[in-house]
Amino acid sequence: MEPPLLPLIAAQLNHLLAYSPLSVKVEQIWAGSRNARFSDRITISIPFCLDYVKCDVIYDALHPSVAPDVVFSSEDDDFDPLGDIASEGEARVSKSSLCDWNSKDPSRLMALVHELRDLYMHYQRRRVGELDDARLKFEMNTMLPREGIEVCLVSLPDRSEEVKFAVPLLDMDLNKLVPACTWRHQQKIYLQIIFPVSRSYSSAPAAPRVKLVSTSEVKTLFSIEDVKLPPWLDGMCMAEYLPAVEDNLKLQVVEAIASIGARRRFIEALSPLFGRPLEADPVLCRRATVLCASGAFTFLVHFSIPTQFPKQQPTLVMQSSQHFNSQGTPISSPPINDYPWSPRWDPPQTAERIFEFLVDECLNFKKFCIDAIPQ
Amino acid sequence: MAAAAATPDGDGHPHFSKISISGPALASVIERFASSPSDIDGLLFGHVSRLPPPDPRDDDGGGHGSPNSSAGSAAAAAANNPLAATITGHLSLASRASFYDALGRLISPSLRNAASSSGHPAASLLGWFSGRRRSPLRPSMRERAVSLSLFRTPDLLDTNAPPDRSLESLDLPHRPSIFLLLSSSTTGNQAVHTHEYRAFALRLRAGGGGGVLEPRSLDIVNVGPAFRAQYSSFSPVSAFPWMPCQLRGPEEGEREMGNKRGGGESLNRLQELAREQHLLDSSTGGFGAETLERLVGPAATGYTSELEDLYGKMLLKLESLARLVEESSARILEQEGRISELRSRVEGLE
Repeated sequence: MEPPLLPLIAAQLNHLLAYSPLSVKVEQIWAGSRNARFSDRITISIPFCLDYVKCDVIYDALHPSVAPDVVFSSEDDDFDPLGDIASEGEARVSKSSLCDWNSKDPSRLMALVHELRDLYMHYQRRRVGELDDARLKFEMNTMLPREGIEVCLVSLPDRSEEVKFAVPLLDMDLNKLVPACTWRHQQKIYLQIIFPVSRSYSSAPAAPRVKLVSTSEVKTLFSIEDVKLPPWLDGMCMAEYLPAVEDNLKLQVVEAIASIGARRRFIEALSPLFGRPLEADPVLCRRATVLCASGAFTFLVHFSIPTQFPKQQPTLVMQSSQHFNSQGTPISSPPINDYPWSPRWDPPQTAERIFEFLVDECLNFKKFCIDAIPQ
Repeated sequence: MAAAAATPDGDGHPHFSKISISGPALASVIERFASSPSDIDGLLFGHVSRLPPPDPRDDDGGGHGSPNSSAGSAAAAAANNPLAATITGHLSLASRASFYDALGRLISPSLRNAASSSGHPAASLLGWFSGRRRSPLRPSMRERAVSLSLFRTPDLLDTNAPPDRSLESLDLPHRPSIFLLLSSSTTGNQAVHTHEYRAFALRLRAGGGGGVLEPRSLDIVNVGPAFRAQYSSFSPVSAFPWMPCQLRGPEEGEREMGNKRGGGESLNRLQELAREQHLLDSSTGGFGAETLERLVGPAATGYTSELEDLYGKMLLKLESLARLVEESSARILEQEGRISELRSRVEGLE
C-alpha cells in the first residue's frame, strides 16, 4: 500500500486530469523513499498518435520545490527533450515550463506535459523525415500542413519499421453537433494509416493498412466499425484517399446525429402509453426504462435503442419487480427483437404496437418468472 | 565512432574505452545512497590513463574510439590510444539538484565550490552520479542534459586553487563524461534490499545535436590476482608532506639559517619546514626518530615496554577521536532534524 501523493504534487496532478484537453491516464503512483509519508513518483500515459507515450514523472517528496524529472520508456531512448529545447536557443529555453519552476502553481505539471508532448511530436516527425523512403517523404510533404495530423515511427519485433499516421477527419465539431452533449474531451474520428517502411528498391510498395479509430464516446453516437472504407488503389497517396473517406463518413455522421432526434421522439411517444420513463438517456437517447403493471404483476421494460434507429429496432428486456433468483437479483427476460416493427411507422404508432405486444408478452414473462424462482 | 572527432569545440576529446571503479569507492557511493533519506546526486573523481596500444592490425580499422583529427605525427599515434578512466572517489552534495537547474544547465559557481571543497583536484573530475530510489535504471531527460552540460563546459576545471603537480602530471586531458546511475528498492517487509547501478558514457551525436548516454560496463577493481595490472600502474599519493631527503649536520643547518636570515625566501622555507616537521611529529605521537633507532639491534628487547607505551598512547588517541566523532555525529543528526523541519515548514508540507 503506497502512501498518499504529496499534497503539492496531488494539486498539480488533479489540475492536469481536470483541465487538460488530453485524456492523460495515471498508471501508477508510488513513493521513492523508504517509510515515506507521501508518494512522489507518478507513471502517466500521454495520448499521442492513437497510442500512449508512457513516462515516469519523478518528484522528490523531501524537496518538493525542485522541478520533477521525467524518465521515458526504453523505446523512446533517443528522445532528448531538454537537448531539443537547448538547441533552439536561449529565447526558447526561457519560455520552457521548467524555467522558474514554482511548485505551488498547480498548473505546472500540465504545462510540462503539454510541452513534452509537443517536443515528442516534433521528435517523431524528425525521425520519420529522416527515413530513406520516397513514398513516405512524399506523404510527409503533402500531409504535414494538415491541422492536427500526427505521425510516429513504430519498430516491430522483427526489426522492420512502420510509420503510423493519425489523421483527424471531418472539419466539424462533434461536441457541438450533439445537443446538450456532456463529453469532456473534444471528440474526433481519426483515420489510422500504417505504411510499411520499404528498405529495398521494390517497385511496388505495399498498400498501407487503414482503419477508423475513435473514442468509446463517439461509438455511442455512431458505430465506426460499420463504415466501409474504400479500397486503397495501387499508387494512391493519402491526399487522394482522404476526400473519398471523408465524404462517405460525413453522410453517415449527419445521419447518426439525425438519429438522435428520431430516438428522442420515440422515447417521448412512450409516455402517453407507459407513463413517464423511470430513466432515460437525455443526450444520445440510447436507453429508456419504463415501469409497467399487468394486474398485480409489476415489471420494468428496458429499451436499448441502436445508433441506426429507426432502420434497426430497439431491443427490449423485461425485468420483474417481484421475482428474484437465488442471488437476490431480479429476474430478467432474454433480449426481445421479434416483435412487430417497421421503420416507416411514426413514433406514436411504433409505441402503440410495442405496447400491444407487451400486453400479451408479459403473461409469458410472468410464467417464466414463476418457473425460474428457486423452490 | 567518428562522433568523438566531431566535437564542436574541435579539440576532439576521445571518450573512455574502459571505465573502472575501485571497490571501496563504489561501496561508499552505495552506502551514501542507502543512508540518505531521499534521492542524491554528486560528483565522481578519479584518474585517467592510457590503455596499452591495441594490436597493430587494428591500426587502420580505427576500432577504438579515437579521433583522427590530429593524425600525421608519431606522437599523435601514441596519443590515440584509448583512454581508461578509474573512479576512486565521490562527493555527495548536501542538497539535491544544487549544481544544475531544472533544464539541466550547470550552475557553475556552486559546482566549482563543491568541486574545490571535495579535496580532490578539480582536474580529476570524471563525471557525476545520480541515485534515485525505485525508479527505472535509464537516464532521465535532465540527467542526460546535465551530462552534456558537464561535458561541454570547458572552464569548469579552472579553479584558483594552486595546482597540485603530483597529481596533475598523472592526468591526461579529458572531459567529465561519465554518468553513474543508481537505484534501490526494498521489499515490503524490508527483508530484501536491492541496489542497482549502471554506468554511462556520453557520446556526442554526429550531427552536433546533443549527446547520447551509452551504457557501459563498469569494472570493479578489487584486491586479487586478477587486478595485478592495476598495481603496476598504481602511483602512490600520500597525505604526508614531502620531506627533502638531505643529509646534513645540525651545525650546517644553523649556518644556513644564519646566512640567509632576512631573506624572505628562506623564511618561507623555514616556516614550511617547521610546519611539515610539526605535521610529522603529530603523526608520530611523541615517538621520535631517536627512540626508533634504539628499537633496532640487540638492545631491542629492552624497549618492548616503550613500544607498548606507544600503542597505549595510540589507543587513547583513537578513543578520544571516536568520542569526538560520536559527539559531532549526534550534533549533525540534531541539526539535520532541525533543517528538515524548517524545510518542510517552508515548502508548505505541514
